[in-house]
Amino acid sequence: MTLLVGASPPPATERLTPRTLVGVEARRFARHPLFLTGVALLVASMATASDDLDATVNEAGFLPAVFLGVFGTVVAHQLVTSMDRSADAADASPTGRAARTVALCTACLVPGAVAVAWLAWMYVAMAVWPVPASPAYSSLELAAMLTAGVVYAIGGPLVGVAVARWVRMPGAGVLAALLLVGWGLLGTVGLSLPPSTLGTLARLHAPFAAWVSSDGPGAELWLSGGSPAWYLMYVTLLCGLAATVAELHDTTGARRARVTRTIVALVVLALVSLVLAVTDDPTRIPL
Amino acid sequence: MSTPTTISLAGVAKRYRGTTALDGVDLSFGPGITGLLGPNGAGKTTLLRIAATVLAPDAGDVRLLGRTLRSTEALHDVRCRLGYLPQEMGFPRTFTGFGFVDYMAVLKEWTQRAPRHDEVRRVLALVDLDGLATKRVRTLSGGQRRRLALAQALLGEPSLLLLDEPTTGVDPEQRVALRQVLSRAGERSTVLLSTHQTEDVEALCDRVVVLDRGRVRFDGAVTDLVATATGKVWLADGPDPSARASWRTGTGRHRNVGEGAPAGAEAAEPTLEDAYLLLLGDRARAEGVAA
Repeated sequence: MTLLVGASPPPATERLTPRTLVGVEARRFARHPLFLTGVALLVASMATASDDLDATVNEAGFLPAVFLGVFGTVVAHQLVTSMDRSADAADASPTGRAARTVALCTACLVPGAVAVAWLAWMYVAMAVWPVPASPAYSSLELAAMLTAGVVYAIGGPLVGVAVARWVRMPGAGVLAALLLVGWGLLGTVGLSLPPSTLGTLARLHAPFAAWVSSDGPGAELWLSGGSPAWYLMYVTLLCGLAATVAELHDTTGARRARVTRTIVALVVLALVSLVLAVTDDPTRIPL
Repeated sequence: MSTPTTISLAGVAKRYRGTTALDGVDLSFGPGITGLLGPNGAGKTTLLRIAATVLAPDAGDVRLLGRTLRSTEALHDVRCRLGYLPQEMGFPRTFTGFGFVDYMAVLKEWTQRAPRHDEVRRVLALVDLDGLATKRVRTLSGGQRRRLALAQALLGEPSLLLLDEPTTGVDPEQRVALRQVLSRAGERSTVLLSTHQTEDVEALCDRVVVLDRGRVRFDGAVTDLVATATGKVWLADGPDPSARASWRTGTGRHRNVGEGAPAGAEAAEPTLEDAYLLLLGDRARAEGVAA
């Protein structure tokens, strides 16, 4: 007889995530009423945006950030916690919780796919209703600002998955969404600060960044400083961080050590990206 | 020929914040249906959760299907052949009955859509829910939900079937139907049936384990446990104050379960429930003497 004193919980199975489960979770995400509401609102906003395409371009990824990212935070959280009451039966299945987390994180590509459609529509719209070329930003910088919208759409749901795994509290998904919004609003404080590296940091540390602003109603618009490309890298790494933190919850043994090392690496890379984003020229450029 | 052991628990112990749920339990099970009886807090659910691999013991050795659970591969293989119905089971609000069992089938690695759907339909038919498969789970009655929970445990005809109070809230007709399903499962699988329904154990099980405060109080044939009550169950015109239990039956006579026969009593055929009451009554008496 072997005596196991103080035995640890059974390890989660670490097989590859079944593609079938990813498909099931993706369909659950795509059919969620709140997600469909977000998509409907995004489509409605896109339909009216052609009237003022300048403003839409200047808002960069605001629409997908709100309608897909923030809404998606709640959706993803609900998808994870919906199985809580069946947790014992699910945990006794060969598909471990860690694999289910990976499947749920992969399902967060669903709002990302919608955001890609939004991005494509933006470029089509700009081709059909040409926006006057601005010397303030290059086409690469514009692409980075707009592509961030896709990242916001994926990042919010990933945060929802991570919160659902780690926080056992009713309403944690809504709270996480509100905190993301609050963090994003906090970043806009940087727009009111004088153009400096510190002001850029105050703006770009947030998971959503506004690039275009003005000194008041009717005043001339200007483009804030900082590097859109490095900021895009920063928020992409934050997404990876959210997914990895979610995965950490149910991994054990050697895999847990690997996931922890990945988290440390992502934090370092995210900080480097943020530093590179904020140390770019902070000067405001009139549009 | 000896019966193969599919579940082996040796010295298994589990505590929750100072409360002992299992206290060095040694048990082994082979094919067939074993009933687990015991009062609330006896450790039945903890034992089933450990056997279902969702809870690790604090001490002891657990072997399922001849394998320890130390490697990921072993755990995976065992879970592939395991069906588990937890004591309490909720359902995602938006799922239909079919959708829920289908989701559980995906977790059990039924990756091919057509055979998976066939299997889902099969288990839903077993629990007589095939006609309600497209209804949202939230619209089903408590008994129907319990049958749905049982359906997911039956997926793939598991070698180990662990059922924690499967018939709670199920009407008598359905209970009889479920007994047919479980008795068929017991012909090929090891079935552990935790319940408070002694009549289910009497009807289905050839072996019964009585747990009390984390220890095994009885382990043997159902008939052996029932036999311990022979000569201790009486029908009398009135209640016997010294009896372990006494109640007025539908005939107007009182059924007294205890050692001595009241005046004018006539011996009655004991049931498993009588024997169970006497077994736990002995404990209560022993504790009373010790106190």
